Amino acid sequence: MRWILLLLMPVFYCSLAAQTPSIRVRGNWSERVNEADLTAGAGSDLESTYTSTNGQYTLRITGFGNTAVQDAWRVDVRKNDTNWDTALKLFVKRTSNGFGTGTVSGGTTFQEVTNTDKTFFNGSNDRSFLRVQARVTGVSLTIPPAVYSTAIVFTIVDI
Amino acid sequence: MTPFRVLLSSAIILPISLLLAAKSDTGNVRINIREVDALDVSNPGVISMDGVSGSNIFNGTSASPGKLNYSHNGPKTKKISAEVRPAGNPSGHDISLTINVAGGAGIQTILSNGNIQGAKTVLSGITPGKVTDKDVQYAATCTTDGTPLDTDTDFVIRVTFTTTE
Repeated sequence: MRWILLLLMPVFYCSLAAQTPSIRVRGNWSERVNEADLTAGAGSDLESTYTSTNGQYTLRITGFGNTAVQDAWRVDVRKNDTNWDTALKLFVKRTSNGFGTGTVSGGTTFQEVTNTDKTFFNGSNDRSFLRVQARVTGVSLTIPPAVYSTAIVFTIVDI
Repeated sequence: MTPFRVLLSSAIILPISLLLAAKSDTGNVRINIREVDALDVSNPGVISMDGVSGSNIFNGTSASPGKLNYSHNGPKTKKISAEVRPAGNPSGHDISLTINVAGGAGIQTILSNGNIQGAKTVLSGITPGKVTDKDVQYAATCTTDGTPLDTDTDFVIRVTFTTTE
């Protein structure tokens, strides 16, 4: 009896893990700003807005199943700064619906990412290849030269 | 195996399983802003030297000013200096040349009787940002004794601008 219990435990836990809401993010974005970004050469300011490719980040949501029963979720987004100038504003938007049996809605226009969680988009069931684009505004000559970095934190919420 | 051992192994496996199913994940953003120090000064109009009645002195000012444009994002204020370097000063003249940048350090002599005078600050205390279309006015004097004006010679003098902190 004990041996049966022992053998069944990992199976039970793996099954439990498979049902646990999970989000995976692939992709990072790096942008270099230099003199070539002056809007009209010497005597002008830097371009203020920089936008990543439309599929810079790819999200995969699992743990909600692929059945006809719709299991709803929400993705929240915030940023976690390493070195970030307050003049820089970060935005994200969803650029694809991805694949899966469920639905996905919202998040298709740029919304600002702050240091507190905000709803990004909603959906149901497992979805993969959800593409996300990022944008940074507020670049100017008044920001000292340096590497500015932050992490976009995507959180899946079972609703 | 005792039930205690079963529970112990379960207690180890469960957290590992849950860790594999993270509820948050991240993507990084990295904006690398490089140093910008872009200066452009356009050429002024030709300085035509006219004689002064009753003397051998000729003088003139540039027909139209040059334009100074500058962008920088350095952490410290910058200044711009102007100078005539040996390679930019043709021989055989006694021209004195002054420069005046609008809103800058006033009239500065960068060539005196044909001799270079070193770098002179023409604009200082420039905070990070842009300086747009500042007039750069030149004036020159010379004498008929030191400069062969009668041969209708053009003297091309090159002024070099440098930015420093």
